[in-house]
Parts: sequence; C-alpha cells; structure tokens
Amino acid sequence: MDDNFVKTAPENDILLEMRNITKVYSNGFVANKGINFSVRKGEIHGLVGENGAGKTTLMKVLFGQEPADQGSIFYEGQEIQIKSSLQALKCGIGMVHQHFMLVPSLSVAENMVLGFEPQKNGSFFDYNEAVRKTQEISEKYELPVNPNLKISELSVGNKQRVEILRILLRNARLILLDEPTAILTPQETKELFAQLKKLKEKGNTIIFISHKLNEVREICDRITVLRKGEVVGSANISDVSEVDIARMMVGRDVYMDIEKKEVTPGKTVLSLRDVSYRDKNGHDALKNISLDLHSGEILGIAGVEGNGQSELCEILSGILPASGGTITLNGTLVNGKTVREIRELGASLVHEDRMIYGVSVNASVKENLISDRYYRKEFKKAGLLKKGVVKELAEKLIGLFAIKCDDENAAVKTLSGGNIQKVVVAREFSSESSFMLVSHPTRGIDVGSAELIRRKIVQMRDDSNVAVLMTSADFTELLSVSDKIIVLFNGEIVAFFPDLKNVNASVLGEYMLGLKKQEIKGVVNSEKAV
Amino acid sequence: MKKRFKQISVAQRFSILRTAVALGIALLLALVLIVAISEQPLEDIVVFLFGPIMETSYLESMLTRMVPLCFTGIAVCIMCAGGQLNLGAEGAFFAGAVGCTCVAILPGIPPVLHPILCMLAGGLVGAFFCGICGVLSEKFNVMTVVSSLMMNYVALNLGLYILLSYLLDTSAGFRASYKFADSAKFSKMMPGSSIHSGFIIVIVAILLCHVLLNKSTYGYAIHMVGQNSRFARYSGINVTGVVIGTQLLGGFLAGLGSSVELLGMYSRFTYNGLTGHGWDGVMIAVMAKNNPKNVPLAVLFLSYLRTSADVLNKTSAIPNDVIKIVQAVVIIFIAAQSLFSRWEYRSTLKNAGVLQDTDAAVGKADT
Repeated sequence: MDDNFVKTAPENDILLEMRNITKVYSNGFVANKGINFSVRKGEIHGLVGENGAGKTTLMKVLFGQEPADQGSIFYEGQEIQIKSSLQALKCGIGMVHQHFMLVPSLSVAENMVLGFEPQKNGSFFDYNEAVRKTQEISEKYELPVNPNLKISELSVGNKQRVEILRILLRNARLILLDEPTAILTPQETKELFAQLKKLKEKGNTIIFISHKLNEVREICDRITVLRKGEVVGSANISDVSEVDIARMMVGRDVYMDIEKKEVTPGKTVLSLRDVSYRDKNGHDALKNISLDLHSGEILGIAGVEGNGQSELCEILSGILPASGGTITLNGTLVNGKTVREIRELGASLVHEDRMIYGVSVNASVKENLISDRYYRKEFKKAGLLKKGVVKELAEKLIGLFAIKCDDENAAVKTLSGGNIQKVVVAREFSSESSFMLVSHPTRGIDVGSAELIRRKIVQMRDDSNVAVLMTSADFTELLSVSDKIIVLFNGEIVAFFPDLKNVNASVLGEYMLGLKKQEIKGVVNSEKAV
Repeated sequence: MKKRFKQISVAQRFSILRTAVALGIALLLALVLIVAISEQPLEDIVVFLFGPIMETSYLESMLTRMVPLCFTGIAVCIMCAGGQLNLGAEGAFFAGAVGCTCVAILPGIPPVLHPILCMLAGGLVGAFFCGICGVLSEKFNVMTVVSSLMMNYVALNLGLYILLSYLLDTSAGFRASYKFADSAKFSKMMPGSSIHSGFIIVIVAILLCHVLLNKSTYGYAIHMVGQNSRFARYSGINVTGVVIGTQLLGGFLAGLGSSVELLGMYSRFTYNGLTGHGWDGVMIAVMAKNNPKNVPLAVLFLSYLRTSADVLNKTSAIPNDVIKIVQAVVIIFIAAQSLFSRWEYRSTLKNAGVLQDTDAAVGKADT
C-alpha cells in the first residue's frame, strides 16, 4: 500500500516473532487474523491501531492469557509454547495491563514479591527481604519507590512504576505496556517516557500499545499498525509521518450505497448550550459543547473512543447528570429529568451497550419490545397488561424489522447479536419520537442486519422527519448515513462538516487523532448557519 | 387449542427435569438413610411416604402448617423478583406477630373489624422492616442480603423488648402476652378441627400476587427491574420505586402471614425467638422459582415432608434430622442452575438453529 511501509525482512537481532496468529473469540468475533509481528532486541516498538483493532488480544496471546487458535511464537530464535502468564514470565516476557493488578491494601514491597514471597525460618514471610529486593531492583533501574508505602497511598504514575518494577524483578527482558498513558497526566506521561528510555538503555525491549500518535512518535523506534485484526504494515518511525500512520490506522473504507434524499432540516429539536461534564476523577470529559439539531437531519459524531461520546450520550438520556450547561428538547429543559420524562418528551434512545442497557437477555422478545411503553393506555386495562395488544405489536415489529426468532415468546438470549440489536432498534424506532439518539447502532453485528438498521435510520429521517444524533466508530456508517458530521476530541468539538462531499475517512482521522483542529466558535449547526 | 399443545420451551423442560431429578435423588437418599438407621425399615418407609395422609389429624396438622409458609413463600418470591435477595422475611414475620398482638389484646373492637385491624398492624410492621432494606439499597447502596440479615436482629430484639415491657402477662405462668380478645380470633371453618378462616385469606393472597406479578403492568416492571435493572432504568422504568415497592409488599405479606397464624392458631403471643418461617420462605421461593403460582406446590412438599417426620418421630426411632438432610438435598439440587447446563445449552442452540451456524463460523475462521 504505502511505499513507506515496507515489510520487514527477518534479521539477526530479532527478539520476538509471532507468526500467523489467529484468535477467534467464542462469540465468533475474529480479533486477530493471520498476524505476523516481530520485535527487534533493544527497541521500543509501537503497536498502533484503533480500539478493537486487536492490539490487546495479540498481547494477551503473547502473555499467555488467551490461547491462540493458530500460529506460532519464536523467542530468541526458538519456538516457545506459552500457555499461562507464569510461563511467559519464565521466558522473560512481562505485561503491564491497562488496569493494574496490584493489591491496594498491601505495601509496595509485598506487592513486588506477590506470588514468590521470600521466606525465613521455614515458612514465615520475610518482609525485610522483600524490602531489600525492592530497593535493589529500584536502584538497578533507577526507578525510585518507597517499599513501605501502601499501594492505595500511591499516585497512578507510581502504581504503574511498581507494576513495571514487579515484572523487572522477575527478570522480564521484554515488557508489554498496554496503553500505559491512557490514565496518566501529561506530567506523569513525561516521567514514564524518561523511565522507558532508561529501561531501553539497560538493554530491555518494550512493546508500547497506543493510539496516540504524538506519543508513538516521541518514544518508539519502530511501529506496527493493526486494523480490524490484521497487520497493515511495519515501519521505522523516522520513515513515516503522523498523517501516514493515521491513514493506515483508519484505512480507506469503501462506501456502502444508501439511497438518500437531499437533507431538508426543519425546526430545531435539540439544543445544547455549554454542556460540560467532569467525572469523579476530576477529568473534564466534555467541555462546553454547544450544538443544535434539527428535524429531518442526521448528525454523525466521530471520535476515537473515550473522547466524550459516551458521556454525551448518557447525559442526553438522563442517566448521567451534566456538570454544567443546558439541554432543551422540543422546547423543554431536559436537565434533571428522569429517563422516562425524557422519552415522553419525544426521545428514543439506543445505548452503545446493547446487552446491558438495550435488552434484558432472559426476557422474551415481546417483553423487550414494550419496555418503554408498557405503562401507556393502549397496553393497560385495570392495571393489567393487555396480552393481545402486546402480541400484536410484537408480531408487527418482528415482521417489519425482520427479526429472526422462533416467535415473540423466545428469550432474547437465544437470538444472534444482529437480531438482538434489531429488537432494540425495533422498539426505539417505533416509539413515534422526534429525536433519536443512536450509539454505535451496528457494532459487532452481521452485515445484513447492519444494512437493514442503517436503512431504517435514513428512513426515519425521510418518512418521520426525525432528528437523529448518531455516534459510530465505523467510517462507512458515519459517511454513508450522516448528513453532517462533528468530530469530538478530548471532550471538545474540533471539527464540523456541514457538507460531506469532500470528507473521507482520512480527513476525519486527522481530526479524530488531534492532528488538526478547526476554529469552532459559538453554537455548532445553529439555525442561522443553515 | 393448537397453541396449548405447542411444545414447552427448552428452559421449562430442563427446569422440570431438574426438579424431578432433585426429588428422585432426595427420595432415594431418604430411603437409604431410613434403611440404614431403622430397625423396622419397611414400616418406617411406609410411614415416611404416606404418614400425613394416614390420619385426619395428621392431614389437618399438615394443612395448618402450610398457611404461614405460603405467606412467607410469596413474600420472598416478590422481593426476589424485584431483584433483591431480601432475607428479612424472618424478622418481618416475628415483628409482624408483635404488631398484631398489640392490637389483638385490645378489648372492645367489633368482631369483623378487629382481625382486619390486627392483620393490618402486623402487615405494616413487617413492611417497615423489609422496606428499610429496599431504601438502604437504593439510597445508600447497602447490599440487601447484609442489611436484611441485620434487620432480623433488630426486629427480634425490639419485638422481645416490646413484649416484655408492655405485653407480658405475668399471671400466665410462662413467657407470653396477654390473651387475645375473642373478637380478634379467627373462627374455625369446621367445628372440632384446627382449620381456620386464615385459609381463605392465604388463597386470596396467593391469587392476588400471581395476578400482580404475572399479569399486571406493575408486575412486568418488577420482572424487568429484577432481571436487569440498568436496562429497566434506560427504558424509563422507575427502578427505585419498584425495588422499594416490592420490599414493602414482601414485608407486608410476611407480617400478614404471622398475624394470620397467631389469630388462627394461638390465643397468646408465645414466640421466644425467631420462628424459622422466613428462612423456610427463602427455601420455598427457591423451589418455586420466585413465581407465586408455584408456591402452594413447594409448600405442600415441605409440609408433607415435615409432617412425615413428625409422624415418624412418634412411631419409630428415626430422628427428625433425617428429614432435614432430605430437605437440604432437594433444595441444593433444585437450586443447581447449571445441572445439565451443557446439555441445555446445546438443546437451546439446536432449537434456535444456531448450532450449525456457529460450527460453520468457527470452521471458516480456522481456514
């Protein structure tokens, strides 16, 4: 593909080689597809890709936490079988997870030796020896820690340092870091990078997983890019620009044709003014979002996961209170309203996590289809549920949305993923709403169901004049379904495309990864601009 | 009519299978134990199997035994259906009895009104104790299992304090309250038998709970909250209201149960400690799969077993504990959700036609 991405030839100084790794999860999701991946001795190697590209899965295979279905691993020239983390550690491979594996109530020294505790007098734990070992390793690698402090007293950066020291204590020569900077402040990130460079000088090899391009650029010697479970290419960092990497990460997806009429926006349905959200860690997940949405238009929200989309959706559905700003739906203030009140105002809501918020898996299809309206007059007589009306509605929706199931009494857990999502969509799209919030409507489902759902979204816009707000990580979907797109980065709107004629995945990608930023002033997509 | 003959679902089939296997194994175990211990195994086995229906007095004792258990059974069913493992029916039963006694000893209330007031008092006291656990869970995120167990001690000791301070009849010769007013007590349905009009009340209560849980819109909300509260909340259901509501209702039923038991069977409050009816309620709810419809059958089984044990106790040297073992085994097997789960899973897949698909998908990924 790109000239800069040359397939690396095998070389003598190769420390690790993973050949033809394939991993299929039990639900049929193919996380890794014939991956070939190699790391040279003494380098910091960036493993780059979007969320869900298969980075973490590949590392879990290497660290013995997930068995590969196919493929082989060569370490220092010899084929090795890694069936558990313990074996990986014995080979000298250590991993620092995104979520720390430390015991908060124990001291640093105790955590350091967890699993191979030093003993004295036969069977007693030798705390002083643990402290000595901790100090020794901490001095050797110049990573200072206080062995006697409890883990719960440490900052996030220091916890991470303990994790790194812990695997160094077990003689790890190859260190896997799974998105280590995701939880760090910029200052802590700087410190971490200094530590990593020291480790490299001492002869360790590091695999650094990330989707933040500036960091990869700063710390890595070489990178490998993954997309949708496959290797796109490997390159020396000096040979590629950030734009190149971004293009490789997001790829150039082919458009799926969906017949659409010209967009004819009507009156304002939803308006956000200076909406912000600060989470309990003090992190500003959303910063002063001001936005208008009109009837008969579909506004897509693009962004790498974790840049505020989830928070925005949860605030709009009323399960998370905004920290500041106002939201009005059809002229009524939404702040502080319950989910039912918001739905009664004319909202229908599709949550990104369908198995938890979208359905009750043990309930039947028909029970799942009425969860937002069972209390209304047409379903109720003297407090009792009208079985006939429910059955009629269920049969109609099963037909309209082509839900594949035995009948309306089948438990939802017996359905396939695509059909489960169709149940959610059938309920939400049939509630005669004026505003639809749709999060990741087709994530992880089969192509046929995805296409049906996309067509239904467009149909809702055209036939019922609904205002649609859609978040998605799928470029095909964003570009083919949306009329307009905004890009969220770090909780801010960094780009607004009122017209998608000249927009493609790589343009979006540059904004999503923070390489570019538009000057956004005032209310995005306000009536005046239309 | 065609619909009626439609085959039952896989889940139902396996539920019935599990129950049958549990009963079969328990029965076998009981027989083995009896044969091992008894000096007259054949007679004892006959008594064990048919004891409760050999004499009308045994049958009567079994039937009266069923009344309070049905109440605590449906109480726990409703609380669990709302998604809370509330073990407070025990305390609510005891406290409800104290509440009922407070009203029952008052003189001068007209006959029909008096028992109604007594039951209302008992029910409300019970509702208070279980309802607190619902409030604690929703407002302060306290696990209901923990809070309800603790509330049982509060209910017991507060109840005993009230009994000893205000209700104790020192002339009774044993620890008991003053006598209930005659106007409060239930009439017997047949002269000379112990079957009282509480029987009608319990049947009505079971029917109402069945309709509430399985037919009403509120029952639908209860099920959705119990199965997946986050889904329920996102759909717009008032989860807090449902959780607190079900705990209040469960507590009310437990308190009502003890009131009916007292007014039908006793003339004074004589409990000295927790009675075990609430724990039995949990057992019954497990057997009934939290469905009030199944409660009478589960209670019948339990009462039959216990009456058998009582009769055995009279006619032979078999200790009561044998029956306790049998009970425990039945409960464990019925509660064993994953017994035959692999088999059930495969049947489910086969039924849904998914099996071939997944095999094909995995095959494709391998190549």
